[in-house]
Amino acid sequence: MIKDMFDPDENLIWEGKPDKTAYVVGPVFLLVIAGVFFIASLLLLGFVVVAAAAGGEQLTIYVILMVSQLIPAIIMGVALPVYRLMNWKVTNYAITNKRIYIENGIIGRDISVTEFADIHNPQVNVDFMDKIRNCGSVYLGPRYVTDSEGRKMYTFAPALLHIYEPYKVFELVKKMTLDIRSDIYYPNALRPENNTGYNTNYHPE
Amino acid sequence: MIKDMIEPGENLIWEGKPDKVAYIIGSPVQYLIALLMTAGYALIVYLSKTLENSYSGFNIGSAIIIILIIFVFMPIYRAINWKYVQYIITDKRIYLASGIIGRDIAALDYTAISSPDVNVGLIDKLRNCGSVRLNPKNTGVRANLSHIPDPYNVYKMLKQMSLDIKADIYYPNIMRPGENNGYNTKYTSKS
Repeated sequence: MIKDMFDPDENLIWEGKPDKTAYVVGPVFLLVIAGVFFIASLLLLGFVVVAAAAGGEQLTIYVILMVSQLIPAIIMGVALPVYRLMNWKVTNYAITNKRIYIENGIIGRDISVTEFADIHNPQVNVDFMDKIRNCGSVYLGPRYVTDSEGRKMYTFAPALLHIYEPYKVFELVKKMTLDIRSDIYYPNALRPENNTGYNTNYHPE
Repeated sequence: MIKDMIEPGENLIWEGKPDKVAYIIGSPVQYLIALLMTAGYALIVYLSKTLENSYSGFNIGSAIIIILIIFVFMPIYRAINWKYVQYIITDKRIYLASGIIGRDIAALDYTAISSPDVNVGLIDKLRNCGSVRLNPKNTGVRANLSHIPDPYNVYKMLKQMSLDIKADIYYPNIMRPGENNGYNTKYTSKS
């Protein structure tokens, strides 16, 4: 599907898809939080049921309240991995001489492209599961930005998630980004060999 | 109306409008959220009554209002708006027209397009259409060609035009050499 989107003179340089296990498992800390939340909610539910039964009270309300507390854990621990498992089959990445393609989407094929001129501060990230599976993620922008008060904010930068040989792909991306971006602004073949600094004088009229 | 905005040297390349059914229905997620909120309200009302709590700030009337807005008023608004929604792609920019009271027109230059994507949702899949999101950078504007027919071909054309025209604005493509051997300029500081 991605290749059908190529321009006539566009050449494939790299293609890949995420490691299945790392992609489906996702962030390990989410799973840990889901597990802790699930066990804590189950214990609370057990205490409440036992206490209410001993006191002869109606259980329905307490059961509804406690089961509703399990929902976030079920979403993080079950629903999201199932969603990612379905999405994994259709997730593909491609790097061409013009841009980077990301394909996914369970219902319809969703494709997004990032041009090299739009890539700034790419990052490579290898988390716990990536380390085990020998893969990693290349982000096409900073993962976090910090506001004036020092708070970190997640940026949702496009990313090649859980790919093999992440450092090689990162090297390729950062080199291509500079080479192609600089060429778009001014052809590299026409540039002089040396840059002696910006020495232009400014004389407003 | 939108064509009156086209400059003398500007050429129309594509024009279209959203699929009527997909546009009026909108995103199925909003209906799901509305239903979940209603269920939440119903649960709170049930619990507050069961616990014999004298305070009941929530009532079913609020839920009905939300349901009415999401399921009735918004689709009616979109049905009226659909008549005026129109998209045009020229060789200089992209125009998006809408607006029930007055005609609102947004013009988006190719240099403002960043990381465009194509999205086909459930309704789009059924109606054989999709949305091309142009994600203009630094504008804070949402610019989408929503629920258009043949979305993949429009997307393919747009991403090629975006790069071609953006690159030409920075340096004329016709004057570019055939090869790019990378950025190899050495920096020699004066000090």
